[in-house]
Amino acid sequence: MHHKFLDEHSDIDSWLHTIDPRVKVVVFFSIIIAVMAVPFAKPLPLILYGLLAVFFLAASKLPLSFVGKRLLGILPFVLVIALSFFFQSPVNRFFFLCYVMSKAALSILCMILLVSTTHFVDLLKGFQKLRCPGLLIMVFSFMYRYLYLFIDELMKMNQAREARSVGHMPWLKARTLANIVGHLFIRSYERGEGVYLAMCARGYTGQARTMHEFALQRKDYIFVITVFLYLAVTQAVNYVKSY
Amino acid sequence: MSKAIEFEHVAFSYPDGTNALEDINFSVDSGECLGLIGPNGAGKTTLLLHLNGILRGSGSIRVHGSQLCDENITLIRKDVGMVFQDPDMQLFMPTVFEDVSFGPLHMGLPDKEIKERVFKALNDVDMAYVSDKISHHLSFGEKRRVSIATVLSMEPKILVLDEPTSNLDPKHRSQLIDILRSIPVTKIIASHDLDMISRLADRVLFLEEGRAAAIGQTKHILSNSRLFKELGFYL
Repeated sequence: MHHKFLDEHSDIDSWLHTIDPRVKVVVFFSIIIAVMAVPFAKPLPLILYGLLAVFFLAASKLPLSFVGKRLLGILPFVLVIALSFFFQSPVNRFFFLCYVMSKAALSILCMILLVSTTHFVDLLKGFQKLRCPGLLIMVFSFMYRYLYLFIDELMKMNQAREARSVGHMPWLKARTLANIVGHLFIRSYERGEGVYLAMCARGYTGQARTMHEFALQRKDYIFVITVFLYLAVTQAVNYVKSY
Repeated sequence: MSKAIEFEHVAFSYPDGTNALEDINFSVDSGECLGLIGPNGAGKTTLLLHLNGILRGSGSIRVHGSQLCDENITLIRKDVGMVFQDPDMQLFMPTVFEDVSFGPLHMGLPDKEIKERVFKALNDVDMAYVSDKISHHLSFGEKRRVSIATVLSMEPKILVLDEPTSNLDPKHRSQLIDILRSIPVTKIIASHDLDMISRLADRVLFLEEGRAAAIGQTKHILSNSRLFKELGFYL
């Protein structure tokens, strides 16, 4: 079966998609740090960072419905956390809530832009090139490889259950679902053992190695310099307005 | 002719006490193809896993004259390419290229040579066109061929295959047999596909409950219906 939810929009033809993954990782994480560093009651930097994110969103050509769904999928969790501070806030509570939510929305938007405009495999390579631990990268690459397989197995087991299910007994359905999850866990454990054997058979000794094939181009340098200039100017404007 | 593999009094028991192999003795000449047959649970896969030291039992195993031990396990794994029965176990990296390059990369080869080996191996199994694809998106037959490429890229002197034709349709099965025939290395193939064994193997080792019940020329073993009946392995 073919699933593509992770790389669904990674092949869109936009200039943001063509930027080196390492550059995108550095730039988007820098924007997130800059957003997080905006002090309370300073809306101007948040508006400027928001404009930057919206510009990237337009440039990425990602469908708005897709980005909206992703945002709405995560923001409720942020809202729950923000509400826990809501009643303790010593200042304007509504303003505080808007401030936390807009920071979260901007950060999540940056992550969506990073992940959706880069192939997951290239993203992992980018992180590895940026000195992210090799073992962590390997765990994520296995997750990417086997996630689809487990979805397939879950679907097959569900089909087998459906084929033998007669009548409507919700309690039995719940029990069967629990058994399916248990089976899936055992199968994933066994598969993990098997994969480790296959790795050993091909020379794996505990040290993860990958090949790097990235080369920075002029557009990557222009992109990173422009964004950092924008962040610096925003910080400067914020600093000047403070005095 | 020099010996590629020598087993002497090899025995192995799993931690639960199951005797998977008992007093196995055989040898394989360089360039020879040995077929490994026997009923389910006879110990075929267990024996294959001994060939590059993934499982270690008692007795002596020599690969090209070198005793298999901790000191030379890395060298032996370069020589013995193992293709597992389930391609989803063999293909564990996100893309085909990364999977085929995994072995050469861990052999410490330079990037240029790795790329050359990857494309040669993929060409050998007619799968160069999928090098950038995600392994999950391949058909079962494609996965099987790429699995073979993952070990061919290591340029092994011995190729070990566990049930290479299982679950393949007749066309892909036939293609795979032709590919295996064209690979000029020592081969050990465990399978229930007796037709494939008869077409590829020079000799056959018949395993029964962990013991070597018979070994000999392929045509002699496979035509011995009395032996098959005695061992409860009906044709």
